[in-house]
Amino acid sequence: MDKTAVQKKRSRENGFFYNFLRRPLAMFGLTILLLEIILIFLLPVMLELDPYYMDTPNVNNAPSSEYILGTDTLGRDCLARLCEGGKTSIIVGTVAVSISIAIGVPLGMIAGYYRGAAEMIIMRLADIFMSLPTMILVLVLVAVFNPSLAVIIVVIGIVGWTGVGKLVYAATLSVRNKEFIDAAKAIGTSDFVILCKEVLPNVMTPIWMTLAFRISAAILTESSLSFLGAGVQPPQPSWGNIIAAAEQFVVLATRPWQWIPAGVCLFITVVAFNLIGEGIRDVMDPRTRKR
Amino acid sequence: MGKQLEVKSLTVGFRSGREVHNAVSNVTYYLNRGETLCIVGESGCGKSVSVSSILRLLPESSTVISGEILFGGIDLLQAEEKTLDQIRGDKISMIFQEPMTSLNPSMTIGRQLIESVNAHERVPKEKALDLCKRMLTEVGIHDAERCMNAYPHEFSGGMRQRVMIAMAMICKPEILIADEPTTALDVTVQAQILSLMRKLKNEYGTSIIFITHDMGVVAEMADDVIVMYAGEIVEKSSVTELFTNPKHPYTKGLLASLPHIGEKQNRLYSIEGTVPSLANMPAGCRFKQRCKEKCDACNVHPDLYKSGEGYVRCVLYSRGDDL
Amino acid sequence: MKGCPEYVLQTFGVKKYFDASRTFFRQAKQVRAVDGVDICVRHNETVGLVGESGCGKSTIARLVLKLKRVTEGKIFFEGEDITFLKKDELREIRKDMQVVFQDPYSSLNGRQSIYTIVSAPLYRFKIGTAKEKEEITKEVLDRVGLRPSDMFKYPHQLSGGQRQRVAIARAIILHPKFVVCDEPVSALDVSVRSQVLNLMKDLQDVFKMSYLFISHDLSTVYYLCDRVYVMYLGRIVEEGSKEEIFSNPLHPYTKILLSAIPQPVVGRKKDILLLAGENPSPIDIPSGCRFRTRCPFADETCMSCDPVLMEVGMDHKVACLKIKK
Repeated sequence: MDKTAVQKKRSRENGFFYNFLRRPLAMFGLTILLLEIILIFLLPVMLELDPYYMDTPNVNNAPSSEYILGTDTLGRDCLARLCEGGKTSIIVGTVAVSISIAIGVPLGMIAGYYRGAAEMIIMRLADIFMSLPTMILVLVLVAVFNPSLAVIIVVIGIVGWTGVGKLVYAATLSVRNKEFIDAAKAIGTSDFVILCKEVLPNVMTPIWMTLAFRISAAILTESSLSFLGAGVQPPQPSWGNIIAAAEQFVVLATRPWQWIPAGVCLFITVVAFNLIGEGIRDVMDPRTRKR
Repeated sequence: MGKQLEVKSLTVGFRSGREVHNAVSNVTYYLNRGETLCIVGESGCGKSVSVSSILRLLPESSTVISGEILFGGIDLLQAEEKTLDQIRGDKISMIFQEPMTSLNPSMTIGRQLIESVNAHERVPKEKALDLCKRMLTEVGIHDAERCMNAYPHEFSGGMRQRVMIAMAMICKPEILIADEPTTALDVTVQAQILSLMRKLKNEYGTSIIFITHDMGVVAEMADDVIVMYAGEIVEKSSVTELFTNPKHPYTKGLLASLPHIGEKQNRLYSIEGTVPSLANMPAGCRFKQRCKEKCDACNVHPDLYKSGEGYVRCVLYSRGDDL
Repeated sequence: MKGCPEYVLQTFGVKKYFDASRTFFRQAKQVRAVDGVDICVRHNETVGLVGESGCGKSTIARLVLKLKRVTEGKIFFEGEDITFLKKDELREIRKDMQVVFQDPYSSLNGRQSIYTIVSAPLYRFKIGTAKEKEEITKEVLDRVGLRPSDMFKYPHQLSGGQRQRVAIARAIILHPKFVVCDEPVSALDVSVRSQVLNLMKDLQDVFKMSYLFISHDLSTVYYLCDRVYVMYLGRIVEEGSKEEIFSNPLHPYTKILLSAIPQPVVGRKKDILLLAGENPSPIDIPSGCRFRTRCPFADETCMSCDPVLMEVGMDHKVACLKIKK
């Protein structure tokens, strides 16, 4: 092998995807997740499912050839509602985490870069947010603003900024004293440009490392909210409020098809995200990159 | 006099991915009783690896591939962990470049010193305390009493290195291995530490293996010198011989590239290029790409030839003493 | 006070105090990192600033570069007072004033390609079209001994010496008149060090730049510099031409510093002067002469009187009460 080929091979071996694709557990998680997303979005189209149509004569049907996962107490197709609930969960997870990042990253960078008063205010604010129990905070906020999907997403996103902010803050602190920041200042680069071009790329690693965990946590929060009745409101389905139907003992004991699938899906999604998250973390952190 | 420690054809490999590269290949040297041996070379030349294998303190990713290290009739590479523990600190001790990382930040200096005494022999507490205080005074810490109750962070770099030396010398070891002990220190502090080490060597008759990259320090400390390049010994000789009559082109280049105070130099000599990485080691002589005196014979890997009092790994000296 | 245009850089009584260990309950103590320093650098001259860690030499670099605000004193650049200039007023001056830092690992942003790093000043000052920018960058990389293909690499793919070349390329791309070099070779291996030192000398011949060369290594200072300032605990204790300082050092600290350098010459009989004690902290600077606590010649007058720099010969000043004219 000649020199350039060796170099190419080496730089490829350091690449993110090269290493990620070589982690069986992470790949397993990714495959499951992709499969699930495809099914959630394709099944309703292919089978022409309607999660809101009430087939009144066929209430509480057990799974059959007509309704693969049976029907619920109002005669709606459980499979259709499962898919629709899945869409909700995926959307809540991704959008809420994006909101957290959009708030947490700039605030964390500002606190870490400028220090002083900005640091004081932002970090104490984060402490206040963190000292309140998340669930109760979300419940209160949702109650104030009426529970709708948009409100829930925004609230989960806002509550989640503290974690992102603290991570970015810590990373910024270690970057701000690097000499390349001084070198940029020495040609008169403005603070805004320094933050965007020099600091930002160096502080995002911990965010990517925890991205998948954050999404799974957001999905769980949404499900818990819906289970408590403060989340997505019926008739719109979500995995949380589907499971909430099992509150009634009759449902829990005699009609497992109405709640088990949603529970299993939720479990699989969260596990898949966590496996992916561990994979990303291991690949990005050279210390854990072992063979 | 006599050989106190012998390292014989030591080869140490580092795992990088699925490949194993030799950080040190076929290194052979010995240490005479009561002498200072300096190992000099640039970063990555394997000088640290070649001595940390003596106490088997190699990082996890590396393995000794071959060789033996003889000390008092024992092969340290084969010895049991228990035997080795008795030798570490008691017969052979080591100090490092960064004293802060080798001191426990949550323990007072006194406790750490007493522990290193007790690791090898159980002595009554008063006696141990007394010994520690005497040792601290010995290394130039005047306020030994207060120092015993202080924590490492309360000291400056130079003081910490003194404490490290006290800790290393407290069992009066036969050999002291110093891995760049003054690199992180200021010149004036370096001068203090070097003179302290010379004093202790004369008082206790300790032999020293001193690793450095600074030719000035070599000239001041060494009796014998080993020059390493890319994992190999390229030259081995007495210190006077090395500075008055360097033989290997690399040694010559290194010496010529140093600025001298009081000497008008318009340009410094410089060795072109960079050290080859362990993964892309050229066949034949490892220095040939940067060598001014290379010839066809350099494509064959040269042996360590005897030349005068010393040894050189260069074909120019392959004919032996008749040069 | 007015600056003199024949000097690239002049500082008058520059001071920088930091607040240290301020907590809720304790009064702030002041760290006097730089405590009244006058430095001047002529055109096309290399001036060495020598001192040990914690003496404030890196703080001076940052003050001169206007990365930190001075507590007191004035800084002139080519005769113009730049002490209190605002960001946008400094714009033009930044083109003429550049910096090379010590650690080539932290002075280059690991997330940017070599091209992005080196061409940053061109983008900042909007010089040339995209094509011209690339040409200029290639030329400057060639000038510092890198290949044009290195442009697409990232810092971690380069060796320490090559990284320092990148940092130098970034500093000289706008042909500045004045470059602050903060220990540019102390992190490099011996064989690479001489390459970089030679490069710096060559570049100075080509571009007629002035260097403020900050270092703790007196041998490199001797090789590179024309004039030398010796600094101790925030003050200049001795200044003069290279020949004067090295052949006729007068301040006890300079003498000790010089004798402490290990020389790569064997069999040299020398009396190594050892510095007694520990560096005082810049929070509690001794009264009178700040070197007196460690000075072998100190007596009572040194406790009460703070020496100032006095002319003792052609281009040679010392701040010591024991030195008479």
